[in-house]
Amino acid sequence: MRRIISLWFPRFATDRISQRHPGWRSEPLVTVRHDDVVKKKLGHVNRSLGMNFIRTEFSVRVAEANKVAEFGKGITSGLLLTDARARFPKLRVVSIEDYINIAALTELANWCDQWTPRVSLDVQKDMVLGKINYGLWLDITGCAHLFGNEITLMKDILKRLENLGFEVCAALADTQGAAWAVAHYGEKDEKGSNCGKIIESGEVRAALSTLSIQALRLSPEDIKGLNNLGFQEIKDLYNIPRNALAQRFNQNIVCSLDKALGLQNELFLPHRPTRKSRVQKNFDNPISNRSSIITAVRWMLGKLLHLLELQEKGVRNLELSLYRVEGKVERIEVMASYPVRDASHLIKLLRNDLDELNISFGFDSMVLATIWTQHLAPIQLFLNSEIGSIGSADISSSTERVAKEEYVKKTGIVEEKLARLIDRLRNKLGFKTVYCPKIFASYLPERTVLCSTKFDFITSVKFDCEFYKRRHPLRLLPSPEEIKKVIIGTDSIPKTFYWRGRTHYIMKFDGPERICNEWWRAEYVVPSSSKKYSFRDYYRIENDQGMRFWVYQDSFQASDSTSVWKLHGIFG
Amino acid sequence: MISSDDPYSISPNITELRRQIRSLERVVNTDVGKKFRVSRSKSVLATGVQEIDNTLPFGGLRLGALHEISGSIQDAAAVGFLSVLLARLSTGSPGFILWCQRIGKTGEAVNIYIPGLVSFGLEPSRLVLLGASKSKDILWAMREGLSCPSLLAVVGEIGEESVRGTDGRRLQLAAEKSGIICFLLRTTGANVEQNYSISKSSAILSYWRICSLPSGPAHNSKIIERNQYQFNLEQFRWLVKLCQYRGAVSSKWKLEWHHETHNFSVVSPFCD
Repeated sequence: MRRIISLWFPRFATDRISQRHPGWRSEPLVTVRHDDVVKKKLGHVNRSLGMNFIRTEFSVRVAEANKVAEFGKGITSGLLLTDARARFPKLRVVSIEDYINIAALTELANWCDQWTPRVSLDVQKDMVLGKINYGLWLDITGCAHLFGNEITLMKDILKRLENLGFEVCAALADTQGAAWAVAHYGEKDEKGSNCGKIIESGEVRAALSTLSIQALRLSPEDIKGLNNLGFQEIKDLYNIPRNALAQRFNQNIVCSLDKALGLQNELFLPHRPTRKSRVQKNFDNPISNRSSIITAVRWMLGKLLHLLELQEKGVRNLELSLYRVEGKVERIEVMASYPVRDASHLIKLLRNDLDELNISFGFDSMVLATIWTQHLAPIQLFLNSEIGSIGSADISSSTERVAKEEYVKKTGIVEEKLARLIDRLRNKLGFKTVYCPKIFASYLPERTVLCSTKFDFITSVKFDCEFYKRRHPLRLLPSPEEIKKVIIGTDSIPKTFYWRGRTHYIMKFDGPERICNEWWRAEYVVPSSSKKYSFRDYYRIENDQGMRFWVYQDSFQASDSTSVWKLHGIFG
Repeated sequence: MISSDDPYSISPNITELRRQIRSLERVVNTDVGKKFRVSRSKSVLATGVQEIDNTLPFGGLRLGALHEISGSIQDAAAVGFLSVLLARLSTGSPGFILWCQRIGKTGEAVNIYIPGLVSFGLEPSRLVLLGASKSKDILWAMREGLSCPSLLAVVGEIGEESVRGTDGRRLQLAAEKSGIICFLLRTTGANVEQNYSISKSSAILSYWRICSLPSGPAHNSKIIERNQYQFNLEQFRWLVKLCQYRGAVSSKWKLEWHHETHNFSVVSPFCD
């Protein structure tokens, strides 16, 4: 059976504002939905002031009110803003876009995956009051024992969230529906919090029986219809035949009821993909010392790699999540170009980012998780030496040579040290910055070289094909540049031209070499049509100082007088 | 390691003294060979031109040191000279070459073109290319590369400014430790040929300046028949200037590249 926690933040928006402005916590504060204000074109919206800007408050309703406003002044959500102002003229009003709240909730959800990898957002519009309820679902199946038991886990969650300044209603039950119902409509103490009610496994039916039918996440029409027929509590529905309910109302009621009772499955959509193997380290007090962070990472890495060794797996992609005290997450992702199970190498990759990390108040939890693993057989350690590159010149003893060949056969890694170097470079400078050139069969020079990010680590490839016997320039401009002030000589070849701040006088030339676009390319135009198809006539030219260039005449502008010449490459 | 036709090896005593000096200079740490499993059977890289090799101490460019090769941005002769050196280095010994490219702005950038390097004898599968825009990143990548025993050489494209101070010192120490040769490819502006000066840094062992020269007369009679202006592509000519090398006399050579045989020859004694 699943165990799911539903968290509900009744005053998510106001709590979030009070986090930034701690002084506002003790004053009445309400929020309105920005959409309402803009749609109704009510006055000028001054975002920099952020308060008291709404001049004509007709039909704008309070979205959320903080505790002081609700209990002290009786201002609740759904009240007209004019009425609220009448009750307390100095009321502080903030208008917030919905998406900002959802972004903040996503950030909080990210932070909550320190308790479980499966966290889902729960954003539902309250049909009656017209406000939006912000909450989270945490699937803690199999996670509770890591934090003691369910009671201590719940206490930990509530304590940490309350430290962040959120008012939380929480409940733990077997199904999403039941947890949601108890969190939103369960009994509350005088402070308005239900202190994390835990419904033991299999007791959902009893726990839901006395709750109002609103707790089933139904539409206002359905609730009204059920109320008209005298159904007030959920237990009233237990004994009604399902098909009768479905006929009289609709399928939604039956579905919601069955989902809450666990008779029907409800899809749980984690907001991030779950990671297969993960190791977590929690701290009683947040750590803010860089060296102790690295020590902790090293410890976690050791544990994770031991796990992977049992599964015969190696890391390709690893993620380190550091949970800040102030409710945010830092994530560091590293990639390897082949499966690794070497802690010292992975630490090197992680340290690039760890050294630049802004620690501020410190971290109270860390998770190291694998995103992508690949098969990597266990390796016999060499007794007398570390594993070097197989291509290295002297292999002293024959046993070592055999061992190395076996290693290569097992792992497929010929140049392990080079692969490690590439990993280090890539993780610091970016994945695509390191590449190996692949010669590609194309006539156009700019298409000849492919930048392949996959290395095959093979040293001996014969390359005595016809292609290499042609002369190629040593440097190529990223895009051909037009040369200016061209004076054409008698043999229709430029005599002088100007390029990059210098005039060149041509003494010798060789050419033309006609290079055509391939016919299967999109730019190619059929020769029979009026347009000429694309080709370039390349000339190798040499100036008086011996500089050799590769220039061509663009075929599209091939009218004789105003032909465009372009410089594409430089020979040695 | 000293070749028998070294003109300076006059007596066996001097040869012995040189060997001692070399061992003092070269081997900083006696455990080098053990730690880095790549044993360098040779300690110098010969250029393949007898005249140049005779000038250089021990007959070539020392491995495990920094060498600066500079040329104008509008002239690719420096790239060509470097690819000839790298091709000579990589024939016979396995290993890769890390080439750190500088990615410039469009309108200024001139990238290296791999087929061109290949035509000077370099294997493309041996190259590991890296592109970075900041010189800080390039220097860091070079330093990382110099500590990797799978590499044969590290090439870094530095801009107009030479490496200096601690950056150069760090590179030098890393190169010395691993025995990997490190080339700094410095590209200067187009018009500095007259007043080119080296910025001396003790970290860099040798300074080279390469520029193109007008190509020689075509040997192939067919080409001459076609056009008298026809320029013979097979016979590139370069001016190779050795500006500074510890233990060598600064000098310059006029070289001609033979594409069929893949080697250089000195055109004629250079006279000013």
